Amino acid sequence: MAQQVKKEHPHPYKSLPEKAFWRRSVAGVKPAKVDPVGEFNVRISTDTKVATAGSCFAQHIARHLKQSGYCYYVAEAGHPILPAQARARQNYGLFSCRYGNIYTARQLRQLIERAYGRFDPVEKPWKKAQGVFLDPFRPTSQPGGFISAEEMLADRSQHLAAVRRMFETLDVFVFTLGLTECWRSKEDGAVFPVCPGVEGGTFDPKKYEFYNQSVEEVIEDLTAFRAALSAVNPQAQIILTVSPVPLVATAQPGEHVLSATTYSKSVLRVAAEAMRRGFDNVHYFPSYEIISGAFNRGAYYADDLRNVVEEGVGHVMRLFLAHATGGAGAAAAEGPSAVEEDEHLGLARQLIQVECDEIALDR
Amino acid sequence: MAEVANKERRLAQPRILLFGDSHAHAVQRAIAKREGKGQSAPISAHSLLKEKNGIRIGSTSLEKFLKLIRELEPEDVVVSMIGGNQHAVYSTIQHPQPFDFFTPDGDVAEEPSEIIPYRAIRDVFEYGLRKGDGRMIEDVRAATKARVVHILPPPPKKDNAHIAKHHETIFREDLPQRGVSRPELRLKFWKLQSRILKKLCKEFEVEVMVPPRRAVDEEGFLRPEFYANDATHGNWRYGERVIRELERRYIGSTAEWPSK
Repeated sequence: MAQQVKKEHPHPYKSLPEKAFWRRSVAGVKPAKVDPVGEFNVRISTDTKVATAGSCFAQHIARHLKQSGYCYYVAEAGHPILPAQARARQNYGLFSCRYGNIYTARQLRQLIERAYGRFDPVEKPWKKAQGVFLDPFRPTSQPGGFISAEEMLADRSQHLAAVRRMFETLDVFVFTLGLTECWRSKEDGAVFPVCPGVEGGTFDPKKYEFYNQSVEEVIEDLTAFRAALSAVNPQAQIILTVSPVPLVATAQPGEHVLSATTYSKSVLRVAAEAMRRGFDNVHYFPSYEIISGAFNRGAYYADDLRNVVEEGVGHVMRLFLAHATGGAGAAAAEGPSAVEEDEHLGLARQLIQVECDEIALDR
Repeated sequence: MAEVANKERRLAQPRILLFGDSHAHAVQRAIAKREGKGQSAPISAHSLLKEKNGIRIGSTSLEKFLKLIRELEPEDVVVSMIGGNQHAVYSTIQHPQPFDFFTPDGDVAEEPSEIIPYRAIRDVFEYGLRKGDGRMIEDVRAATKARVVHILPPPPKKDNAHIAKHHETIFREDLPQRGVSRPELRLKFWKLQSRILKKLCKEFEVEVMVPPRRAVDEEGFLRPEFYANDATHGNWRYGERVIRELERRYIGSTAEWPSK
């Protein structure tokens, strides 16, 4: 009986790329060269409209996109009669619409539901002082607040119209997941970006409750959001990232803020991965890993161990653009000129100036 | 002896020196009218000297005026009609992207204009006024011991047809094409400017004088009989009303002069 020779197969790790190995792609690489991007199939060109939203880390993404020559899509830019610098002071362009920080998946889901009239929270405008009214769902967006509840509601209506325009016309939506903890209305479940009573409003335990999302709930919210976005914009691509910025405080009873941060970021990371695996138009970019990875030995955090230093943001955006553009890069965009003026306003200024000179000449 | 003479002069009436840009011209014209009739005006009016394209406009540079008012006494009066047309820049020609804003006085924004939050537009205006007219008013205040009063610019004209008709020839094509803004928007901008100027003047310890009551209609617009032949300025009759108000406030009398 002839002895059968067993054909030997190499084990699976033999054929894996360098990035699958810790020593070759993390420990043995200079920190600035570490590239933890896995599968990432989004491609952007200078024409691709990239919109952003999310926690405060998303502001860095918006700022770098703007400076890099790519199309950072701003659907609520503010009226051009306001000079560019004044609009920036009023938080126009901080994100693609003036929604302020969107920390949780539930907040994002409720934003699209509010924009399309499917959810109308009962929460009234917050009166902070005489002539100072805040929008409970974006309390820091208008510096100094709105002068009346009517102005706030009119601006919100205009804002939500811009949000609809953004969702319907964007090509890529970059959303940075920040937190699982939030505060919500006991009456209708509306969630707030900050706890009522902190920036405005009055805290009332009969009206508001603490809510810490589970991974299932985050996935459910992101799934609902994706469906709503796809319904109005079937071609839209979604890039999820997780903010590496730790919680400033936790309200989870008995919890330590460090453990609470680990819980929040873990849930968000798992949810992002579940979404990426579940939907072809959802992608994950590892901002969280680049900033918080042990390879940089904490160098990307500022002294407060929360804020991210510019070097870290630069690392994230360098990799983001390299992967999303296939290394093409783009010419750096010119920032707004300090003397930039609306063409109409320039003409009007000229008209009034000529008139003033003429009258002084005793026409 | 000189001290006694000064005291006597002060008991007689204060010296009033006026300085301004284009709005001062209405007062200068009113003074010329009085002088033409052999009447006097107790005001010496100076307009800001500028040179544009080789043409000199105005009579007195800011530096020269500051020097003039240095020697005034606390009983004397310096009147500022500096600047004043920022509101017209924003609200005379219709913007291709119509906009409006709410105000703390309860004015609402008109649909379907784009809403600019009040505090956003105020931020722009305050920044512009502070580094422009505000700085000059502050310089005037710092230069003299005399009382300083700033006169708010005349309110806007309600009549769009007048503005469309009396505009600069080089804008003949632009204005009909773009149109004139709504009068209500012009009034809102004027109120905004007035509010900020009042705030700045309070900060600089400068008194504020509002436009003469008789020149303003019940809605707050400039009455047509006080229109100069352009989009924004008052005529000599308006200037005469300003003089009378100054006389009433600081001299305690009014000259006999018809309002029309």
